[in-house]
Amino acid sequence: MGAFDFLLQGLATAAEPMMLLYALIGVTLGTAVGVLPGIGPALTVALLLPVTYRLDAAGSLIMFAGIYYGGMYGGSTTSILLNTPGESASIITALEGNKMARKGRGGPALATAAIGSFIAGLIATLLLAFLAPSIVKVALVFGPREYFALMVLAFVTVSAAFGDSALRGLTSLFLGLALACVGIDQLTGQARLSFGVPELLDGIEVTTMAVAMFAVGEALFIAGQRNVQADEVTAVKGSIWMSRADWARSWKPWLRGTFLGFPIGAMPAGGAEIGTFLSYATEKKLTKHPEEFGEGAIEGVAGPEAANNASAAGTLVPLLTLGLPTSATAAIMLAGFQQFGLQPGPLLFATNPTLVWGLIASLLIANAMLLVLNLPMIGLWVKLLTVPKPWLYAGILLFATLGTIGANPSSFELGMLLAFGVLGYVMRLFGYPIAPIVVGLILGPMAEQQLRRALSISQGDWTTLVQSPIAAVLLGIAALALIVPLILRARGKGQVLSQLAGDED
Amino acid sequence: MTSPEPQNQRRRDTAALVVAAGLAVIAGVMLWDSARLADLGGYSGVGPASVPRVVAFGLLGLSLWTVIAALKGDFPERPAQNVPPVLWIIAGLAAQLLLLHVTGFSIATGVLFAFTARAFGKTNLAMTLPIGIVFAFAVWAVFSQLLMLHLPAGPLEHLLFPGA
Amino acid sequence: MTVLRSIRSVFSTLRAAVHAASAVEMHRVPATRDLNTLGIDKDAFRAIHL
Repeated sequence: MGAFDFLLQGLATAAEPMMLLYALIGVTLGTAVGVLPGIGPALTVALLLPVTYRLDAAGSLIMFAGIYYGGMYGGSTTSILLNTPGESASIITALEGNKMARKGRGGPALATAAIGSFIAGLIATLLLAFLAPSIVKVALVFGPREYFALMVLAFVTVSAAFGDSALRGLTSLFLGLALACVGIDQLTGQARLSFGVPELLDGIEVTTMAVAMFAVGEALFIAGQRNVQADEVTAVKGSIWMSRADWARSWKPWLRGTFLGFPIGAMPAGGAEIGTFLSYATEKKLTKHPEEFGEGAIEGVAGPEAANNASAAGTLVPLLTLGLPTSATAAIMLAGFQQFGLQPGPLLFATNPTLVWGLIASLLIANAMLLVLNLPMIGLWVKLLTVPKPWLYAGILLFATLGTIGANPSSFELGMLLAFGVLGYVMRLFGYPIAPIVVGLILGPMAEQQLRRALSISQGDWTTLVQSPIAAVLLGIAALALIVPLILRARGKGQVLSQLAGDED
Repeated sequence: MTSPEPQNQRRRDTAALVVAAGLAVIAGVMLWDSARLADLGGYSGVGPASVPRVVAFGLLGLSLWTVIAALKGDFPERPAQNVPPVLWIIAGLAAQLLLLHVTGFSIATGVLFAFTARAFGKTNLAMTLPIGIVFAFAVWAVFSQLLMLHLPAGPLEHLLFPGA
Repeated sequence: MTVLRSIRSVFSTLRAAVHAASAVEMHRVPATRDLNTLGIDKDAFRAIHL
């Protein structure tokens, strides 16, 4: 059976009424959190994990994926109407989108964002469906050492290669790895780093950590900021529909954004923002209306919005086929799979094809739902923008603690929430990235297990790690990804001095 | 908000030195803890203590690197912070933690709600506290009664839901 | 020559995008040099409420 047959079967699963309901809840929640600044898809999925504990696994995962897609749609609304991105992946949209809204072209800006997101989501989800089986075929021959190498590569790219500081990225990663060591050792049953505290024997909950980092840390950071600007909603004036000229100028950026965003999402690069920046730069270089850039060019909204949705789908490629999360949201979704005793990867395609293909197919349905939710019903979401900040953050912290208490109603767990929240605040203050600590905490135990398995197969011979060509190549890429940016950065610093005026280097 | 070019700020960064010390302390604790583990490496030679040791040495190295970066002033400038709102939120979370099993979910979370609103500019606690308690109670009712989440009940919850 | 040049331009754009993305994730305004490479106006970017 080819990918196409699987996809049709998946559509049959995803079209069951209950699954449709889960998808609808997911995309509605996702759009809402995308619209609301200060709360993103990673946090929402983390908050929902304890609530969905008793629900259906396939339905819950469909809901999580809907939240992820929905967040990418909703973020653009705030960017365009408020100049306040609801999501960091929508920052670029604010650049041209808000200018358009101020000129009374908010309608076409919202429309090109929503339709572009739809087209990108559609193409990228189909790419995911048709790429997945071949990656799975390759991954089926992977043994422990290949998986270990793959995880090392993910560690390096998430923390060092793509950040602006290898030092801070690696520090964040190693803090995550250190926290991952807490608890009972999986292979020998010995308690590690638990200091006789019984609550620590189970290890540190990924959800507690994620909620603390994304809800508490973020709230503390926003509360501490000075010179708060008043937010002002720009009313949508004029027609919401795009003119013929708008369509003519939008379709190419949509496609280019899709093909920029998808591979970047699939690479372990951490986050959808990179694709949006690249798309903006590309559109500005290729446009026939350069004078409009900075004054509200529709290409500058169409391209980046397509790119961020495509990279959301791209992120699902390594997550579903290899079990490898490449962004904070993907890491939390991995925790969602594990909560139901499922491990995404090639084996899941073989053992539970209904679930995997139902999930992929549901993305197509979710995407169509989102188009309906975001175009005719845009007025509803704009109302959400008027929730004042005090109530918004008070509500976020209420639900953040609700999730933690629901998972484990102990003061100790709340204490961990508070402690990690303060840690997240300090990390933001000093410019440490958050994604590596979350990825380290969730991938650390898996990497350790694979390493120890590989070494016990080889009876302690470390050279086994590079004796398989795939593992050797992956470790080689990881080493390059660690070292090359360091060299480039060191060289780059010298060049700044000599090329202060130049914009090329 | 702005991050000036690193060349302009080649000064010692004391706060970053504290971070470096913290990393070294964590590494030390991990090494101490791994020393008391019986290393059942078996055939592989890699036991439960090995990975914590590797991570600890990594942290030591990063601590050293942080010291160098701090002395060179390589850290990005930290945005100026308004301390009182931050403390209000921390106080709210701490109050909820302490009150949770005494007064139940609604009152404890209502305090957190009111303190957080206070941090973001709603200073009238006489108004926000009742709103927070009522809201938290509604949330408690939905999640504990309908979705069967275990949320600690207190006097307020027992009063309105005698069975809880 | 032009090929080499465009490859270099692609790489510098990619690098600038990566740096700018990691800066905005931390609620910081990216370096002016990165924004210039990406063709983004610095003042327009400052106006966005991060």
